[in-house]
Amino acid sequence: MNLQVQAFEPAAGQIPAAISIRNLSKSFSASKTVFSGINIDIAPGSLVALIGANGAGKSTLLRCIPRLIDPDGGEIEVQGQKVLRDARNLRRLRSKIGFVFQKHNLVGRLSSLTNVIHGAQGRGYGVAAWNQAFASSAIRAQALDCLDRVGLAPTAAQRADSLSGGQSQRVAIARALMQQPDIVLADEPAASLDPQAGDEVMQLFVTLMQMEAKTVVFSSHNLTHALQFADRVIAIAGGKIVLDAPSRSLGEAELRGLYG
Amino acid sequence: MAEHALPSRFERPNALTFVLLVGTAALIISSFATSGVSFEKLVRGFPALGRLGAQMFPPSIERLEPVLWSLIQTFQMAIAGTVLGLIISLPLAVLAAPSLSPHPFFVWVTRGIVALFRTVPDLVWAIVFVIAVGLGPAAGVLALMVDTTGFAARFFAEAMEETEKGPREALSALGASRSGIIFSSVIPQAMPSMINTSLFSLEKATRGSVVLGLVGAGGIGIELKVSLEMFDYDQAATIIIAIFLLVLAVERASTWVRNRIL
Repeated sequence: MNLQVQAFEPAAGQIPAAISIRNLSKSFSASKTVFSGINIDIAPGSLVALIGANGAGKSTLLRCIPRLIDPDGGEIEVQGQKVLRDARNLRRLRSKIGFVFQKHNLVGRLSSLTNVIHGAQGRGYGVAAWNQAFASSAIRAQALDCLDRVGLAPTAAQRADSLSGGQSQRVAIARALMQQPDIVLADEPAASLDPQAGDEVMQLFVTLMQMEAKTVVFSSHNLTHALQFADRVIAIAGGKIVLDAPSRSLGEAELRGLYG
Repeated sequence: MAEHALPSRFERPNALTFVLLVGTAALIISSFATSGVSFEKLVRGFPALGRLGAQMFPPSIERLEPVLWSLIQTFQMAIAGTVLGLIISLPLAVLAAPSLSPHPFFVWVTRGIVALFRTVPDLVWAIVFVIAVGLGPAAGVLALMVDTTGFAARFFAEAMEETEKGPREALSALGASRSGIIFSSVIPQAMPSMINTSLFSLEKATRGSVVLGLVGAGGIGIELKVSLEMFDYDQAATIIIAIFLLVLAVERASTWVRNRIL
């Protein structure tokens, strides 16, 4: 196996990396180190796939970026600003980062439209983004447009818990669009869907994010998705980065070797 | 025939279980002995019950109109007390829910206050408020408010804690404020349980409001007290039937609402 580890560090004078991770470490107990010494720079507008076996730390690493999980050590910078625990700074930085979860994490009792409107909370819309009933016409129209872009405008008034898994994940993508972030992190967005729905959701997700020139980092077990949609693949194993290379230089068989 | 022996029907209790069983039995027996309840006493009481029943029927409708007005006032007290209690319960529940409260200190203090509200009986709160604000329905409303708060805040907090964490995490990840997360994710998810608790609170307050009049806190209780003290048992029967119908109507209505909404 010919594994390559080659950091994508921006040269001096260039635009700062969208995400810069320095010497990051995380362990859940003294005996269970998830990862340590992780260094990654992600260029603005790039599409990065994070792969690795179960328990390799992909989700933990993604969650560390907006500090949904606090790392034990190291530094994270988003667009040149340190991601610190301080609440005000953290909320401001989080508003620039969209997060699509493996399970859609919608509020089931609320309508699709309200769930999408929630995305505007990161843009400082407060009470107006709590529920579609309180939202201004402009916000409601924006949310409907986001739903339309994921092909679900007809479900605007439907309760989220009445949607299929694939539809729910698309509403979650619409919520991320509504947030208007610069960076989108996605934690195995297609993992809980059947293969066909998973392919459709990934295709839609990547196409929409590319149209908006977002920086995207997604984790996946699906090596085809990693090679098809990402322009860079990072693999984690044993708590370290074991591969960091452009996807065009990689083959599926090569990546499969990482899963033992 | 099976080779293995059948297990015994009952397990032999260990020493601690045995002590607890004996202690519980002793407590039950001593409770009956102290309270002086006996089958003999009950039998001896039947003739007196019969006489009371005879004096109650037919119920008197002589003072039906004031009784009905008092009944309406009682229900209004229950509604006002419940609404005030529910309004106060909401912020207290947020502070009492460990995953939503800004600091564990608030959880500790709020839970203490809510426990105090819940453990002191509503009749005692009524006496306290009669002393504070004087005789009348205002004292009753305040007593019901405190009683409802003690009940609802606890169940609201539990309902909020039991909501799915995923939607909260999603909102937190996009930079939503604490209040945004509470009102957009936690409360909508907890709503069925909160409506249920609110309806039970109204039923509880309706039952509670009936007896508050006995200590001068307004409502139909004072009518009942006066009728019994004046030996107007036929009039007391009318009041008891009116109370029964009110409580039954509220219970039926709340069951209907519960089935329709939830």
